This record gives sequence, C-alpha cells and structure tokens, in this order.
Amino acid sequence: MNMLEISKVSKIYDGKVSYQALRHVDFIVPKGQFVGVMGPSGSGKTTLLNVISTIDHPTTGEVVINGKEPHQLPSEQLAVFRRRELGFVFQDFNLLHTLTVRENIFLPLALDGVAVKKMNGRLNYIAPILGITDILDKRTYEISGGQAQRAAIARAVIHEPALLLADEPTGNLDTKSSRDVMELFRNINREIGATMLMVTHDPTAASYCDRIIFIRDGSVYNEIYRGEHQNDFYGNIMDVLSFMGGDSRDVSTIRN
Amino acid sequence: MTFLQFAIKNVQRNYKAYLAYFLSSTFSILVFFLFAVNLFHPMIGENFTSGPVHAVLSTGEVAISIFSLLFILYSVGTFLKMRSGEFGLLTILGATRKQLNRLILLENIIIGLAAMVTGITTGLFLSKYFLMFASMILEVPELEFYMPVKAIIFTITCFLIIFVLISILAPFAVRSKEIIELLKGNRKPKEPPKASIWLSIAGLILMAAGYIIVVLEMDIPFGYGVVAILVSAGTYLFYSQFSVFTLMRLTSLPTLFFRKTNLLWISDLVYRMKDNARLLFVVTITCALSFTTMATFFSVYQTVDEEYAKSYPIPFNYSSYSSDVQRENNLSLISSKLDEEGLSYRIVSVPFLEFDSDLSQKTGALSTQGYNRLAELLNREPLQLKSGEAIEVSTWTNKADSRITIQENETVHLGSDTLRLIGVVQDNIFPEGSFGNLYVLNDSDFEKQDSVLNKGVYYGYSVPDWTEASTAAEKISAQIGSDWDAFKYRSSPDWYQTDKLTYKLILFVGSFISIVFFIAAGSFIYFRFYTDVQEEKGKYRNLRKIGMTIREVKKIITVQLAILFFIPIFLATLHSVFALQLLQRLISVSIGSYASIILIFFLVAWFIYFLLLRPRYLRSLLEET
Repeated sequence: MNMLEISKVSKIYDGKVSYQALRHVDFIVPKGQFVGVMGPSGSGKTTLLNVISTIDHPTTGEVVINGKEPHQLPSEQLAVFRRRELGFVFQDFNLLHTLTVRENIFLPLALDGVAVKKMNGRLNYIAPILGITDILDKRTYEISGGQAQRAAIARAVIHEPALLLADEPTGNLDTKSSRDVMELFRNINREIGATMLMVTHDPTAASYCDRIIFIRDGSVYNEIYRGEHQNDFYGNIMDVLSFMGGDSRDVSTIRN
Repeated sequence: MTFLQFAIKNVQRNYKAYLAYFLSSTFSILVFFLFAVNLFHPMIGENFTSGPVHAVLSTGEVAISIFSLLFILYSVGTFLKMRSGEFGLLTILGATRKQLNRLILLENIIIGLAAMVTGITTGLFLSKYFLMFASMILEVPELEFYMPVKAIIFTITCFLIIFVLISILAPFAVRSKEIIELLKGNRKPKEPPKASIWLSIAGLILMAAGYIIVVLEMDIPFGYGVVAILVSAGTYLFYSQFSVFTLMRLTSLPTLFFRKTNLLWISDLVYRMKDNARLLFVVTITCALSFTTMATFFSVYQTVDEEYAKSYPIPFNYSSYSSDVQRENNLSLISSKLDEEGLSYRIVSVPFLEFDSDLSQKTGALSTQGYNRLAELLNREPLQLKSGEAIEVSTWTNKADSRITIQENETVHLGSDTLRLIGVVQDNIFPEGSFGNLYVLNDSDFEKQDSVLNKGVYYGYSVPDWTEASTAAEKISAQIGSDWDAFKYRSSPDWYQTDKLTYKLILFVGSFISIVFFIAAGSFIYFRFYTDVQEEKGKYRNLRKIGMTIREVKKIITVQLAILFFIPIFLATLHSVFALQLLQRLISVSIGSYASIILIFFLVAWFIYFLLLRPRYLRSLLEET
C-alpha cells in the first residue's frame, strides 16, 4: 500500500522574476518506508517538504497522503488532517517554552480532544522507546539539544501519524546526539511501522534511511536503495553527492 | 491536559510576554475607573447633574474609553505579532482556525479579568486621593470616599465590551498570513528600505509651508485644517522618507560609516525608521496634541482673570436711558449689595449718546470729559480733541483679530456731523460688544448733537476685589429685573465664577487625559522595542562573541533608543509651538510663558521616562536565558 504519492508536482514562486522551485516531481513512498531527501542548497528539498506537509501549496500536480488529497480539503478539515495524519520534526525543535516536555508531547492530542487517560497510555508506550521518561516534567530550557529533539520526535509520533516528516532533524545536534536521534528514527520506523520522509544534508544521517531521493534544480536527479550494510550505503550516497557537484563541498569527503 | 489548561499554562508560565499587554490593559482600566468614581460620586451627582461639570467629566470618560480601545488594540497587536511563531507551530500541529481563535479569546479573558481585578483594586486605593484632588479643583467640600458600586459596574461593563471587541478583531491580525510566514515570524530577511529624495524634500516643504502660513498670519480658507494637514503629511514623509534617506546617505560616507559602532547603529536604524514610520508619526501627533491641549487649557485657565478684566474693564455696568423710572432703586440695589458683602467701590457716571448704525449694536459716543473720567478710573491716558475731531475706542478687547486700523483723513458721520478720525484707542472701556462702534468727541461737539437716537447716563462701579464679588453680583442679577428698553445692566463677577470653575475643570480633565496620552505615546515606542527583544538578543549575543564589549552594546542601544525616543518629542514640541501661535491670535493675554512651562514640564517628564525605560530594556536584552 502506498502512503505517499507525489505526481507531477511543480511549484513556481511568482515575483518580479518568477522562480520555479520544483519541476514535475514524481515519486511514491510505500507504507513503512524511511525515505531521505538530499540535494544541494536551493535544490528545492525544503519546498518539497513544505508542499508535502501542506504548509505550502503546489502550483500544479497532486499530493496524495494515505489515500487523501490534503490540498483539496477546506481549512478546517485540513487542520484535522494535519493533526491526525502528519507528524513534524524540525531542525530547531520548535518546542513551546511555556510548556513542560510532557505537555509539549500532549499538544497534538489536546488539540484533538483526546482523553487524558488515553494520552498517558500512549506516552507510557513511546517514552521508553525515546528514552525521555526522566525528563517528562522538565521545562524546555532545562534539557539538552538531543533531549529536546527526542521530545519533539515524541510529539510527532504520539498520535501515530500516517506520515512522519522531518526537516534536517540532526542539523542542530552534535555527532553523538545525531546518531542517537537517527537510531531512534530507525527504531520508530521498525517498531511503530511509521512511514517517514526526512530532508537532510548529512550523509551519515541519510545512511539510516531505506532509500534516498536526490533532488537537483527542482527535479528528481537520482535515487538509491539501501542494501545490507549501512557503510556501503554511506559510500553510495557520497558517490552520488560528488557526481551531483553543487555543494558537495558542504559534506565531508573522508569516508569511514 | 485540555485546551483550557493549555491556555492557562501559556499565560502563567510566559507571563513576561503577556506582561506588557497586561500592564497596558490595567493602566487603561485604572484611568477609566478613577474617572468613573468621580463621575458617579453622589455629591457630584447632586450638585452638577446637568451643568458644565457633568458635561466635561462625561466627555472625558468617552475620550478615555475610545483611547482605551485603541491603546489595548495596539498592545494586543504587538503581543500577537510577537507570538506568530507559536501560532504557526500550533497550526502545523493541526490546530484549527476555531481553536486558535478560542485560544486568543481565552487568553484575552484571562488577561482581561486579571487586569480588571488589578485595575479596579488599585483604583479603589487611589480613588481616595483622586477624590481629594478633585474636590480641591472643583472647590466643593471634601468629596468623601464611598463604595463606588456604580463605577465598578460601569467599568466592568465597558471593558467587557472592549475585550470582546478585541477578541473578535484580534484574530484578523493572524488570519491573513500563511503558516509558512507565521513559522518564520520575524526571521525572514528584510528587503533594504528605499527612500526617494523628492518625497524627502516634499516632506520638509510641506512642514515648512504649514509653519510659514502660521508665522506670516496668512489668511486662507479653512486655515487651521490646511495647516494641520500640511504639517501631518510633512511629518509622515519626514519619518518614512527623509529620515531613511538621510541615514542611507550616511551609510555611503565610508569614513563616518565604518568608524567604530556607527556601522551597526546606522544600518539598524535605517530599518527601524522605515518599519516604524507610522508608529513614530502617531507618537509625534499624539504628543503634539497632548502638549497643545495641555498648554492651551493651562494658559486659558491662568489668563481667565486677565481676560475678564479686559472684557469687563469695569465689573458692574449700568446704562440708564431717559425712560428709566427704576434708576434710583436699581442704583441703590447695586450699592447696598456691594456694601453687604463689604466690598469697596467707586462710582463714575458719564453721559453718552446712541446713534443708529448698520451693525446690530448701536453706535455710541462719549464726551472727552466723560471719557477722561473713565480713563482716570482705569488708569489710562486722558484724551484731548479739538472741535470736528473724533477718536475711535474699540468695543472689543485688544487682540490680533479685532484690532482697528484707520486710514489718513478718514471721516465718520455721527448724526448730522462729519468728523475727522484722528486716532484709535485699542482697549475697550465698556463690556465687550456694548456698542457696535464707539467714538469720543470734543465736549462742545458732544453737547450740540441733536439728531441722536438715545441719550443716556452710564454708571460704572469699579470694584478692586471684583473676583470676590460673585455673591453680590448674583443677588443683584436676581433682583434687578430686565426692562431692556429703559436700562442695561451687565456685570462680570457672576459669570467669572462659573467660567473659572469650568476652566479649572477642563484643565483638570484635559491634563489628566493629556498625561494619559503622553504615557501611552512613550509606551508605544517601548513596546516596539520589546517586541523585537528576542531577535535582538540573539544578534547582540553573536556580536559579543566576535569581540564587542558590553559597553559598546549599551552605547549602540542607547543611541538607537534615544533617537527613536527623542525625535518624535522634539518634532512634537516644534509643532506645538506653532499651534500655540495660532491660538495666541484668539487670546488677548500673552500665553508664551504659561505654554513654555507646560512644554518644559513635558520634556523633562519624557527624559525621566527615557531614563527609567533604558536600563529595563538593556537588562532584558543582555540577560541570559
């Protein structure tokens, strides 16, 4: 079953000089797949993510998530769609500073009017997986970046979304925390069976995915699937990146 | 956690973000409530239900409620803008429009209720002093403290309406934006501001044109309106174009621009000026209005005695015609009432003539002898006239608009005579408007006039302590009757008393409102700085990392804050000075010194305000979180 279908999606920004950020992007993500999207700066990856996440509208083309076309929904139903079907993880966490970690995680459920008992049940299930049981009652300024990102992931998955979207989730984290977060993503992918789409710069983070889609100049440039070994996959990713040129200087050229 | 709990926690834990909004609401409620306490005071209710006191107080209350609505609306706008990122996040997490609106409504209810409780409680404590002050002003025996139930109900009702209106209007501030904009909030890079040299010059020309019209006393249709529009438009262009243009020019002077911290504050100020042009414009106009109003009321109040002395050079005036049979009775009535009050007085009687005229009032004439007797009473220069000559005496007080000019060899026809006009006395001797025109003639010319309309005798009672004579004046007015064909009686102390009280009250209400506006204008600028504090904090943290000292940071902030704080106030002062010039034309007493007192008072207050706000802002900017 396909969780995400992107067909002929284009996005043109009108302005004095109109600018085509996406050109006829086509791909399909089956249920349970963990997809990474890579590409140089300005290639259109974030635009693509924004279009999928319903933050932005495609100029032409279709986005189908879990059999529904969110862009066709009226705003009230779109909000309900976001809250039930989508989960978001941001580069800068976007936790609300006014709330504790627990309250932040409950937010999507509170918006949906879920009973507190049920909220606690879900949290008790995911908190150990994410390793955040000890920090649930802390405020956001009392925890580290890695913990904040794990809390943000908990918020993104607590309502069991059909599609989990992540925008550079390791962008603000050190190497150790990045690895932890990526391990977590993989665990969530396996244990909860979540379908995930992650935009990233970091080849190491990308090597945790099942499949990488490379974007360049607004269209799909290449895609590769993971084999048995993560290290081989990392090598393949590096190869494609150096082929693509662009800002491959951004990434480390040393292979491990 | 329910949605309601979420809203409450949001307010509870993020009180700093809500503080500015809460304080401005509390302030508005406090001001409104204090006024209501006076308005509904049982004694004011009994004594002044329909008089000018009630009218002035009610007008003040209406002005304050309109002000409150705008002030709170502005604060809530700033407050919502500050939180756009939060709203963006909530939208992405799946909050519906309805839920966001409900959140805003809930927050407004929480803040509104808290502000009402705080505002009214503080008001109850302060009202005792406010009432004492009011009773001093109104010259009524001490207004006792009372439980102002009506005032409380009135305040709560009005502000419930205001907060409901705001909750309905507020979501529009968030509604129109796309989520993507909300999420980025203020983070997106700004386009460099543009300013046109022609519009900059036009701004200066418009302002100058307004000033020139005032200085040259030009007579143009809708004069005041035209001046107000010219100066307002000029002010707006001054901020949106001229200031930006000037600063942009500074950036292109390398030796200046790249010197120390100039680079930072100038480039920053360009953006701030452009972004805040409308705000600075509003602050300037608000301050100019509040200065001018305050200076006007203060001057009018201070000069009311002088104005009265000028419009009624002699406080008690009795003009008797030949048909007056009551003369003896009336004159003894006036004398006896003045005696009863223990007031000393001098009576002067002079004959006068009346001629028909084109004006609604008759033309009057005095003999030289008669005029000189009155002049002696008023300590004025005596006149001397030859036969065939006349001197015109103004029938209005001496001010720019009513000055009389005569041509050389101008003549005047009185009855069957034609007389040569040889001079003018610009100060009136009779109450304003007693005659259409008034002339002094040579004694023999005066005697031989035969084709006159009326002959009569004028009796003037000069009372040195006329300001104390209101009781006597009221008693006389009540008994003297009104046979206007036989006599005319006019006295000033009774009117003076009412006028003095009214002006005092207007001054009281006016200064109260002016000060409220003034404080609000200062808060507007402070709010604007406070809105950007998070962003600025990050910026200065980075600047300090690359080696900027705290001293330098403080200097940059102080310069920026000072420029944005003081330019509007100086411009407002300038505007007020010219506005007061216009006002001077209508007032015969010079108001310069009184107006200066007020302007200096405001400038000092503003400076103190700046000294109080600057460290607060610096602290919130430099504190670590």
